[in-house]
Amino acid sequence: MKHRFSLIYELDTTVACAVAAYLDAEHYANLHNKYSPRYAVLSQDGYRLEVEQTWRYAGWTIGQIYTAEYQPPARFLQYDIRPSPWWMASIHHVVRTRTDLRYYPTPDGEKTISHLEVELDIPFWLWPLRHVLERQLCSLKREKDQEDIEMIQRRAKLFGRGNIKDYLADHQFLFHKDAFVEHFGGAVEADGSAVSEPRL
Amino acid sequence: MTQQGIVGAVDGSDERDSVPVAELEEDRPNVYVLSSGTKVLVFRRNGQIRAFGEVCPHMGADLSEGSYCPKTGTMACPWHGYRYSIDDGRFVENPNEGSMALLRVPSKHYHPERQPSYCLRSVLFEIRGDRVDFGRKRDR
Repeated sequence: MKHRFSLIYELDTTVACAVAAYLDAEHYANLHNKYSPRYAVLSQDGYRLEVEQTWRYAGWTIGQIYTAEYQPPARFLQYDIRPSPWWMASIHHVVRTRTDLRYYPTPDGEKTISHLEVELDIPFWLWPLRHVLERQLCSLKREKDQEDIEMIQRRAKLFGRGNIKDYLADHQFLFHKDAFVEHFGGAVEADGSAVSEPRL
Repeated sequence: MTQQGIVGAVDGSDERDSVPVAELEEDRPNVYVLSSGTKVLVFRRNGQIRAFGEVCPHMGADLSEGSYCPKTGTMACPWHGYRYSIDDGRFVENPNEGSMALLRVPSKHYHPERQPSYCLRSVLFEIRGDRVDFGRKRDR
């Protein structure tokens, strides 16, 4: 039984900055370390990554493995979520989750709409709890986005709103760096801010 | 675990900021906001005093929110975990390299550096009597 819901809100930043923050994966295990202090890429197939996130619980290292797919310029999918280790009791054994996140600019181009679509494939006996699961997922998403937006806004204060120069630097690591630069690096002013948002 | 306070100008001149040396806790970041608004991390370790600006040279995080390791004398950035030596401010380690090694291969727009040249911004000071004295125009 499929339960679908959306979570849509504005992020006070440009799409280029929001995408840069998403692809800047080195912050996942540090800024967001209260959720999962370890984040590792297990394999890559083009824009699809197999990722393992783990954390410590009661002396055990547990977590989840999933596929994270980037669809340039500003769409991110997550699916095939399964527990790690595989034998661990986990909701992922019985609930299949698929998320689809898109960023696009507000009409004035100044801010970003974060549009998350979630699909939960739930067994009938868990169906009554679907809204509990929905609330938990939405809460987690908002908390992580809040940490990201604080990072983005501090960078805006220091370096200027929309400044993506640091992310474009040759030595800077980003997931799918070439695709990011191809889409967002073409129109950058001397101060690093995007001249215009790319067409999405 | 950090200490934070506003350092008032001495002598009413509003030209300098200072803190008593005795106030600095050993082997931990002592965080102060100078009257200019600059936040500094001051370390006293092995008889030496060092002071650095709060801005991480990698992406701009506030290092006063990071974590300090007394064993290695390094400060870790709260955003990306990059570690810097508090002896000279130099970049020491990126803890994410191993977990993302698969993707750290050179490409058209990515040219990884073996030893990034990031360095904390030193804040100059003088020891005047029993105080650490920060001159407003001495930042570099």
